[in-house]
Amino acid sequence: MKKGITWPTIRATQADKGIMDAIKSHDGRLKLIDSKDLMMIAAALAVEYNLPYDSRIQDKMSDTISYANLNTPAYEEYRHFISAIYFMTKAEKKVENMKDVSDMVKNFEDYAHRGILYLKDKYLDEKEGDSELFMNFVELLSSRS
Amino acid sequence: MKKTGVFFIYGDNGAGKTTLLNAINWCLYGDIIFHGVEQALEVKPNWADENDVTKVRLIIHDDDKKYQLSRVASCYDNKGILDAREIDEKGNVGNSLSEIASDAIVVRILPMNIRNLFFLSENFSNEILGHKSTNSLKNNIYRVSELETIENAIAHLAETESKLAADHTKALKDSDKIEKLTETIDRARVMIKENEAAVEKAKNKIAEHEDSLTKLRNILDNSQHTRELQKQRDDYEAAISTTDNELASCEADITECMQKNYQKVLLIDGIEEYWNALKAANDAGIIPAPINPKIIEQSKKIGICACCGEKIGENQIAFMNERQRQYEEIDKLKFLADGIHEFSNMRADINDAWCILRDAMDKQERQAQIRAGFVEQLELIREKLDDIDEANLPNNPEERRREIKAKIEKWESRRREYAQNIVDWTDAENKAFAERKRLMNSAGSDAQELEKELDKIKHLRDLLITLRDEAEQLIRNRIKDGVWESFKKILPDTQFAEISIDDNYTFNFIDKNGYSSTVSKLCVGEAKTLALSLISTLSNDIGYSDAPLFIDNLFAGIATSHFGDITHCVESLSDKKQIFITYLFARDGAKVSSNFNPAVIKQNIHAIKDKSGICFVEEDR
Repeated sequence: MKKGITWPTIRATQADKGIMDAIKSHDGRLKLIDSKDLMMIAAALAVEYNLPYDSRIQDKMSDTISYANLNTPAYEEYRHFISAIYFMTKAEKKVENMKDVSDMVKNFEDYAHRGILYLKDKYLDEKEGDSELFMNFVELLSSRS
Repeated sequence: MKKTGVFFIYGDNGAGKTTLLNAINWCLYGDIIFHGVEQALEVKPNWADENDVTKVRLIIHDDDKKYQLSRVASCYDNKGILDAREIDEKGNVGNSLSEIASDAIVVRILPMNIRNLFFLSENFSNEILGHKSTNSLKNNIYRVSELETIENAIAHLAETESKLAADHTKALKDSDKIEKLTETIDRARVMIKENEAAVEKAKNKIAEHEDSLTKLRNILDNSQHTRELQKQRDDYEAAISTTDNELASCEADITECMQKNYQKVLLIDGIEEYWNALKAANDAGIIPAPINPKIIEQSKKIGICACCGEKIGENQIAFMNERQRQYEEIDKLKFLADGIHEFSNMRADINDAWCILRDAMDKQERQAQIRAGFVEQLELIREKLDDIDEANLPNNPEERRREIKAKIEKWESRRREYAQNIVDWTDAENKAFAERKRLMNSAGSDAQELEKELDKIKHLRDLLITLRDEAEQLIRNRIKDGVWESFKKILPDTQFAEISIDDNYTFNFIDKNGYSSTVSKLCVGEAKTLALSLISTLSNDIGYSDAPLFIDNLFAGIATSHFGDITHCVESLSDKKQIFITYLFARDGAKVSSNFNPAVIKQNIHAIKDKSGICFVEEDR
């Protein structure tokens, strides 16, 4: 961690938190997943599938996603992923636009929200959601390895 | 000859008087009755020629018929054969009659068994009145009456009774034995039944224990099989558990792989673009690559680059310082430089993740197949285990098995013992049965039947004895009365007042003074008078009153004082029968006993002759 930069705590709406808890309890391959990892996958899904903005991101946020903030060395990769998502979305693929980490986190929360809604529909509520999600992962991994 | 009357046969000693009587007897009966003559036992004298024969011929009248009886003896046959022929009115002699017919003629004349009362020797009084000789009064009475028959019947019954009594005694003994043997047989049969029941019980027990043993064996087999199945079940369950763990591990790997790499594969293209942008920005100095202060410090200290190992000079040191300064100035973007390093291996990470996932999925598939096989086997084992009733398994089956086998051995031993008992008791029964059968067969009848038979015999014998005694008493009384009447008639002046006869037919005389005396006390004349009275009585009673009477030497030993009595007695007898009497007619000078007075005899004979009109017969050789 470089001096002078402080990453804010990641948050999610209370509804998202409920969905996340349901996903963590759901008998699938995302069971017991760490909340921050779940939010990262959700955000990646939203970026990859260009999921639309959802205004419920403005709802009341819960800051109890993780009591460990992102400023520890263990989250360095996580921070870069947030940066990469920001680069691919709001920074319009220009590095010089990536000076505000707080905005990066907000952008991440926005995309994570979109992805969580997607997971609710495709993972939780679909009968074969887990299988289809896993097959999607396998296909992507197979094609991109 | 006249049919009645006295016929005297007189002559010298040895003249043949007695022989003549013997001849008559021999002709009738085939034996010699009078002894005392020379060669009395020989019909034919020893001085006779070998070819000579002895022949006697009698002509007899039987009612209106006339018979010729003859008997011929040779030196080889003293008895000879009686030849009886009938003589018709013209005097022609017919053919020989049969032996039976001949004997019947003799019987009609005088049966042989009573001829002792009619062929009298000179001592006939002693013989008849005595009770010891075969010609005793008792024997004669028995012969001439039915008493002998009754006596014989009594004797026969006594003999039969004796035999029956012996059989009865034996039967009683045998009966005891038979009873004991029957008890033995009954006991043997009871014991056989008891032992048969015991054998059956033992067999049932053995079968029961063998059944238990079989069940136990099955249980043990099942138990062993169960244990094997249980072990297999446990093994399969453990294997399934292992595979489950493996599968869980695979699933965990897959899950972890997905959870950690999903965002990477989703963002890989964008991240690569971002990584390139970061490198470009870094190259453009927008985000100068940071140099580790420690490396800068160390490189400065030793004069050699800690990264490339090249010698560094002041210029290089100045570059490092300038870069450090620029990096610190671009504060807000400097953190992005780390992204260059962070994402440099993203593609490799994805490749690694793919390998991990593929391996995990392959392994998961294999483990799933293995597990399916295990599950299938486990289901089969569980089905088998469900069929086994383990509830009946004893705590200690081997000990239980030994207990049951010991019980089987015990019952088998008992069964053999009972079976041997059956054999022993059957043997005992068979032996007792055979012995009892033998005894029963030998006994002929049992003791009770013998006792009944014995009682009948005894009763019959008692009846006969009573009958005999009563008949004998009657006979004795009649004899006594008849004899006494005759005696008194012959001897009206007798000194005796009463006569009695005892059981042995011994006469006792009681004189007027009350003194008794026996026959032995009588003189010869009295005794002969008594005997002739007796014969007269008996011959009337037995239906042979007309049978001829032969008296040898009638006057021998008789006192002359009794000649008249004897003569009177003979005279009275001759009213109904022929009487042949021999007497010694001594020639002049011949010695005679002092009691013998031929004159007196002649006088008496002539007296008889005058009354009877009989003639003298003189026999001379």
